[in-house]
Amino acid sequence: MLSRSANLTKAECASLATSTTKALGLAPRVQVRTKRTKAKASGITPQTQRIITQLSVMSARKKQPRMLKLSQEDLVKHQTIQTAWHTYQDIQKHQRQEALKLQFQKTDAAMDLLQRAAPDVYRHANVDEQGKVFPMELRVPTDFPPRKVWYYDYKKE
Amino acid sequence: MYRRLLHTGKVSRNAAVWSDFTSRSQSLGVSNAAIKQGLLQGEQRTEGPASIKRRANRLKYNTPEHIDETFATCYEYLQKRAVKAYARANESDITPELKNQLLVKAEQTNPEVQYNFQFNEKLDNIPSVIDYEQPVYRHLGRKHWESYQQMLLMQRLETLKVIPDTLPTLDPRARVDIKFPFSTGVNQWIEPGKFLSSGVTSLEPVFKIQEFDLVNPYEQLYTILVVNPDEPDLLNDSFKTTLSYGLTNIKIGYNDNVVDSRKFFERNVLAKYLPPVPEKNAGDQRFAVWVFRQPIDPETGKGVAIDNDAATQTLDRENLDVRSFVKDNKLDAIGAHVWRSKWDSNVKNVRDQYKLPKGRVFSRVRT
Repeated sequence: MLSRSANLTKAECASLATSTTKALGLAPRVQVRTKRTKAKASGITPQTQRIITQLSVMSARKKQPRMLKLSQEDLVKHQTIQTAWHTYQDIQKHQRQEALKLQFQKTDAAMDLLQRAAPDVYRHANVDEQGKVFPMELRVPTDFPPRKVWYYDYKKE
Repeated sequence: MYRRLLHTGKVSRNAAVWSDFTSRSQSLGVSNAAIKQGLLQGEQRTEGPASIKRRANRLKYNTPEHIDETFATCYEYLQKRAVKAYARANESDITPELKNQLLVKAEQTNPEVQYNFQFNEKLDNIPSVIDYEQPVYRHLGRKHWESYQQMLLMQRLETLKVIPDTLPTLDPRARVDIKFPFSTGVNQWIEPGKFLSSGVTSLEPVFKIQEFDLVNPYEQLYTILVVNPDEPDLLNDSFKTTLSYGLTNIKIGYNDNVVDSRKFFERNVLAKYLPPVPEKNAGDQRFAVWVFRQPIDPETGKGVAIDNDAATQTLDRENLDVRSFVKDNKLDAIGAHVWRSKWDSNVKNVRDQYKLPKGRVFSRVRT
């Protein structure tokens, strides 16, 4: 405002301002930057913001865990172990699939037989049960059932 | 469960198939005794991994916990499977292809084979370490080639339009590499599609043809053509294909497969080498190397040789029809390579060296 009214230079403005503060007996205004303690408009707390800043100045390589340095022998050993484990699992998986396939074939044959022997029973056995859920009351029979079977109004703590 | 499965079985005598070198090739084992011990028995027996050269680094190295015990279990497990594969491979009622597959299966999980293949030179191989006569090394070599070099080659052939400009397409089965090893050249394998100066290409290249398939190396014959589909054809306002180099009836082995002047005679040369001498302002010229398998006579099982004298009579080097040449001789393209040349200040010297006529200088014509 001062500079606009009297067409003064910057240096003159500054000297005028100091002389005014001196004349009024006020302490000179000093701009001080302190730690930010309140969240900005973005909604990120200063603590989070600090972590983001620190991560952004760090290179990507330092953020990921350091690569294991294996000697050539150990690398081959590691690969052998991996191969053996995968082979073993493949065999297991294959066996399970085969067993399931056999089960399915047997069931299929039994149902065919049932269809020929007792068409009525076959129809009952083939009722569409889509949308049916597992009944809560259906439990494994126990020798000492609990007094309260099911906690219907159970709330997680 | 795993542990139980492994340890209930009785260890039979032929279970140690991977450590028995009486009938197996020496290349299927690690030749360095210290490394072999470290690999199979563990580092406790040795003073750190022997593959690390400096002693200080060797002592500093920490091996992962329990890796040796786990490895021993896994080695035993995989070796048992190898025994089965070997037993099946030695039966007499199987085809050679199946036998090849079984031999690959028996050895490809062998840590010694893996060590040899992973940490040794695969292209300039030493047959005592990586022996491509062994089915397993051919299998590993093919996988390694397919993982990068084959894709690179096909990309270059397609982007530079070598296919379909010379031949319709390529089903790559053999690795082809070229080198210009003479004093004027560069003593390194050339990456497909590279620009080479006329000085480098002034003497003929050597070819390395690495077969991965099961072939009979004693009977199989190969033809190599180097063609240039970018020769200006002013009469037709187009380009024509010229033959730069042609070799026929070449025999190679799985390991001994560098085709240089030691590998062929005068009678194998279909067309003598004419170096690339591109003319000024005629643009870049592609030089496509094509490698073919010649047919095998199904009755005798012998390779069908090309009669070079008859072929040179009918061959038109200046305007070659590659497709009909391939069709007439029933050739089977298995590999290719390409390099590029353009005019440079050395072309004149190369022309003088081969007593070729003076090159033309092209210029743009306003139409």
